[in-house]
Amino acid sequence: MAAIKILLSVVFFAVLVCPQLLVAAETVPLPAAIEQQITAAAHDVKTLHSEFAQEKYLSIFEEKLLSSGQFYYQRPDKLRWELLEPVVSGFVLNGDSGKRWHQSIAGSEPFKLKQDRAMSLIAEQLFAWAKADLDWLHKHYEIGVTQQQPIQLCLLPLAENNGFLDHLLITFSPDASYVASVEIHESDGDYTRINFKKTVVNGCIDSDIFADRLSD
Amino acid sequence: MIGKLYTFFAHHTRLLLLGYLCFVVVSIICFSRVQRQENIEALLPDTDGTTVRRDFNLLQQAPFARKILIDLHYADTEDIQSTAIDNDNKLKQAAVELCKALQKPLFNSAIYAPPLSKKHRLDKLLLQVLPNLVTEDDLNKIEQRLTDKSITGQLHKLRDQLLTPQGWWSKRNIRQDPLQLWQIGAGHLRQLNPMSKADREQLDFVSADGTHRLVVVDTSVTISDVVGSRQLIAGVHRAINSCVPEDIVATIVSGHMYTLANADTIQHDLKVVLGTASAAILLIFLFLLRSWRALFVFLLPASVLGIAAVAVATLFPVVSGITIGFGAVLLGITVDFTLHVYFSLRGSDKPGQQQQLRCLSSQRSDQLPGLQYYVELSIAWSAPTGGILNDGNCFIFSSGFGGDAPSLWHG
Repeated sequence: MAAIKILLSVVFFAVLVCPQLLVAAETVPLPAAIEQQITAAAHDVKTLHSEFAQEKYLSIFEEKLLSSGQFYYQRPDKLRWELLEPVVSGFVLNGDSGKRWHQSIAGSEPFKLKQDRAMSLIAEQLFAWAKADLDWLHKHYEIGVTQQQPIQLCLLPLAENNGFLDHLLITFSPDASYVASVEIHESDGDYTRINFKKTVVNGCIDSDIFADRLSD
Repeated sequence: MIGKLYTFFAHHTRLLLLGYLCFVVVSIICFSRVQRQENIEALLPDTDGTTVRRDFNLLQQAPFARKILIDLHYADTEDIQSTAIDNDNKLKQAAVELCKALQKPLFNSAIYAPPLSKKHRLDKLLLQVLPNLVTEDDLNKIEQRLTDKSITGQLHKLRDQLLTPQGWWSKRNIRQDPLQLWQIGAGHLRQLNPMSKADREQLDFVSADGTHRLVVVDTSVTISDVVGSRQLIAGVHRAINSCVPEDIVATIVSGHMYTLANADTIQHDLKVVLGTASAAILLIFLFLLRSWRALFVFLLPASVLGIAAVAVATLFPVVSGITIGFGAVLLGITVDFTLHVYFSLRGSDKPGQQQQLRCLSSQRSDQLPGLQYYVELSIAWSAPTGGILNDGNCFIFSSGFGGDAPSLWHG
């Protein structure tokens, strides 16, 4: 009886306290063939435009938080991320500077990545997903594969970069040319799922998109 | 006993001279071995009811009192042929190298830019100290934030924030301080902007016109410590000489420089005054006594200073330089006792010399003029400052030696 209790305790610890253990158990190291496939497909991507739906599962809320918006990317360093529902909020990045806005405030606020650590970290993540920059990801995460078709990568942050993050699950499109969904799992059990849809690869994007908040 | 010693040394003058030389050498060695403290703290009152020493110590612990500011700029920008960008790069390089050269133990840290990369968590700190910072107005603001309408509005705002990518990093802060009360503490810092003209583009300490760069150095050396300040500023000059090109001017701004300037001025003045006074007294002795032995009358009490300083050091491990200085002044008073002895016993063929010696060595203490100074010192002993207390000790030890010694050398 005591042995069963100990076993249950270990299982409880593994499931609830160390979700990384479960993820790691299902993950295999990134095969070179898949790495080459992702790199080759990403190499051809010049621009990306996608709508996204975000689901947030937070322990402080009973219900999941739903939001939606759109995302633009242009190689090498232009990005626009904006929420449209239920609140209008977003930012553009152009090189090492950008502008952000919120519906409660008129206009936009400029910022520099060097001076805004939070925005710098966000930009790093978003650019890494958009570019499928495996070199950068290798430096910051231990990369494994949880499924091969479509490709799903599991990213475990290296110890020194851990912070709030437990692991990331990145699912690619069937041809591996862009990211179809991202799950951000936090160390306290909360997680966020972002599903990208209506993705357009290498479409024409107006330069104003990366300049500032667009007039309503 | 003094009479016997006198008789003995009267017939062994070389031995007396050798003994005297040994005494002087021992005194010099003792004086050089005493660990001297050149710190104003030794003169501050520490008796009950006074807070001067405590206040001064607190003042010295203030961050600004432990900073050295080094301004780097070109000596004459008109003569510089290179571009402004090149100049700025060279200035920055000099600042970076200077920071690397300014290392422990004298320097705790040296920075040429605000430490923005450090995760200070100012919001968390401000929240912790908020009870110490709040004013009546702040309490009113908190009360306004606690209304139903305000709380609802704030929660909606926080939910919106959690939907954005920034929400990934701010969730923990939101849970700790949902009403964002830390902002009330931050409001108190609004007027505190010591780097208002710093160049935010470069993220370094750069003047508005870009021609000056600043290096901020932190040290543990207190501004009242003259010896430490001298080592510290010497270390800064060494680093500047090794790292900063000759065409770049380094201007040092620090309380330690002020301390050194004061100490150097005082020490120079004391050297001039004491040197001149000593020479003048010696000349007076030689002129009035008209004998080379006047040299002994003068030097023997002076030689006692080193031994007296060591005796003081047995009670106080670190002796203030000011204590030794005042002790030396008090010590000069004992010279008049040696003069009494000298004049009493002058002339070796004088009749009744032995009786005089016996009388001198056995007379009652209140007949010795030197003892009146002990009485005076009883006042100094009860004085409220540690410095005067030390001076009293120095005098007591020195006059103990100086008072009994003259009969040994008189011949």
